[in-house]
Amino acid sequence: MSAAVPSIELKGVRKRFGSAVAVDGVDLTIGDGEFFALLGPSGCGKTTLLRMIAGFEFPDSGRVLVEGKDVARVPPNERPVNMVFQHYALFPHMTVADNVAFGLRMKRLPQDEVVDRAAEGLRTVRLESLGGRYPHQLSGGQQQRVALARALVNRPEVLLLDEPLAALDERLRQDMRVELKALQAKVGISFVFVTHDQEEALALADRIAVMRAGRIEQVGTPQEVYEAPATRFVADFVGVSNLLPGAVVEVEPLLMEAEGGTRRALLEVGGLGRVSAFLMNGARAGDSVTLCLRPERIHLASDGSEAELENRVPGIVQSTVFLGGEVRYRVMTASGRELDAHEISSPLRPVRRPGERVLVQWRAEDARPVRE
Amino acid sequence: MSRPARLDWPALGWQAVFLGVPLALIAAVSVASRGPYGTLEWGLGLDAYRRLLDPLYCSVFARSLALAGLNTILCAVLAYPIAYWIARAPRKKQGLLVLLVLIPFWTNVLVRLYAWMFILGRAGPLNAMLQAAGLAQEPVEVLFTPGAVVLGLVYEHLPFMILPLYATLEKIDWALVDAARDLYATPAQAFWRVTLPLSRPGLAAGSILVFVWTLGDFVTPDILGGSKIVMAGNLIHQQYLVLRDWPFGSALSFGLMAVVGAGLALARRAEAVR
Repeated sequence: MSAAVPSIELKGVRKRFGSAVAVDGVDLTIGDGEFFALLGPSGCGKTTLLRMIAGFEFPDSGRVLVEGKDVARVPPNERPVNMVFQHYALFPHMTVADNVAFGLRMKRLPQDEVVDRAAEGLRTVRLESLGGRYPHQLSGGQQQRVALARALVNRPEVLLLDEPLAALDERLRQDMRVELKALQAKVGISFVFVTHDQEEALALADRIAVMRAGRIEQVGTPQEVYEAPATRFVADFVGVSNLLPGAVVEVEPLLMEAEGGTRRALLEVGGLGRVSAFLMNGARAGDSVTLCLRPERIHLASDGSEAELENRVPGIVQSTVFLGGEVRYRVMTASGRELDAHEISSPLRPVRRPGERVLVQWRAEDARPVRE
Repeated sequence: MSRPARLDWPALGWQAVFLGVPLALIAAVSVASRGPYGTLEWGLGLDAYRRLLDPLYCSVFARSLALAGLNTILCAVLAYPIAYWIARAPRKKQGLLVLLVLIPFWTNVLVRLYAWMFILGRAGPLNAMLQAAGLAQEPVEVLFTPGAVVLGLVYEHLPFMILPLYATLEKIDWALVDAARDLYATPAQAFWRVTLPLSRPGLAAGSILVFVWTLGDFVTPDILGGSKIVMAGNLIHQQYLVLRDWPFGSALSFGLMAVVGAGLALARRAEAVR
């Protein structure tokens, strides 16, 4: 990310369709060369936001800056951004080569340059031999690459991608993730993509904005969003989490400043009893708090074995799903709360059977408080 | 052509009974000759076909072709915005709008043309409006002019252009237009390069329907043209029902079919070359 001009800046952007508010005051800065994901469930406004950056929708209020220039009222054909559409939107009546050359022709570049750059674009996505085909003669993965080439030959400042991998089958999707990431590194421009698939966002993006009901809930690196979800919604939407509502019983006195603005506290959580966790400074006894505990941070120990971690609750295995690399358990605590626990499988550790008594344990720092 | 499959037989049988047999009959009649009192005298003569080359009849065919061509163009130009507008309307409204296009068909064409006679007549609402607006002092002669015939033809055939056009426009993925706009096309360029080419099948189907049906139309020129404008359809109608010259009527029918067939073949050739 260069410190100079950000690729995209959104300031107080709002958009409504009739009585429905699609985007409700979004502020966002996307740096130069960033691979950025807009993540959220359908109807959260992420696509509308992308379409406002592309120019297909104009915001009701707020500013949309591309490379520092306000383009809120500029039509799509005059913006230095290009888009890869969800179902690629390749022109069915044109060959692959004509599809790729379309933008260059519209810009009225000299014919030799159009031909050279279109050929180069097809080479970039390794489709140089298919220029004479029509889109319907290509596989889904090839169509996807044509759509990428058609956008990238125009050398946009920012490439927008609407659910770029949604139309591909699972296997191809995995491959295309790697390819997309490599392509972005090669061309070096900002990629902004919309997805409802949290795994895709985590896998591809440098930073993610998680959206809900027209607003941004959290912006952060995949690790930040996963490890320190800001809200209950983010904790629930990104990855799997055990959400534990509880009340603060006691906050320990601040012993050291080095805890990063947090303090150890004792909480009463329904169905688990007393657990310790780190809360932000300022939390006080009596406050209600929701903790997010990721299933893979839970360690199961056999009943009666030596406890290793500070939080421990006895329970009984309800169900077991063996996935090869991972075993997924659902455990019922003694006082009736279900917890998901995922463990890396190991030949040294037999898979636990339903009905087995276990000790559920986790570290205080692994349960993060989230806002409602 | 490959051998017809078993499932094709009913369709082929239908064609044979309702298309093949009548055509064979007309073919047989066209080589017969007319007896002194309008009777048919069977035989094998090409007299009727020779008469087709008479400049008088050639000019009727030429006029019919010109009128059909003009009508097709006018219908296309008028129908396109309407079909486009329906196709871009909210999905829920589209059914109602299509219904509105179809409503005229609930009434017989003769009734609707007589209504136009009334509207266009010297004492009709059109003249009343023109005079009220001060655009004319005296009643204007509109009825029984070529203009009235063209108006009637357009009115009658417009739905046949709107419907197939709507059917193709409705299926267009509008993301393609977005894509064109994203790739620096102005709205007009996006229309010419994406929307129009993709709607060509509908335009072609509508044009064939309108063109062919206009060529065979004889009611509209009769009623709104006051029998002053003779089209190929009128000619055939006259030979069969007025002059009772069935052989010549049949020859005219085949002449018209040949013209239409040649036109369609040319259109197909042009389509294949693209």
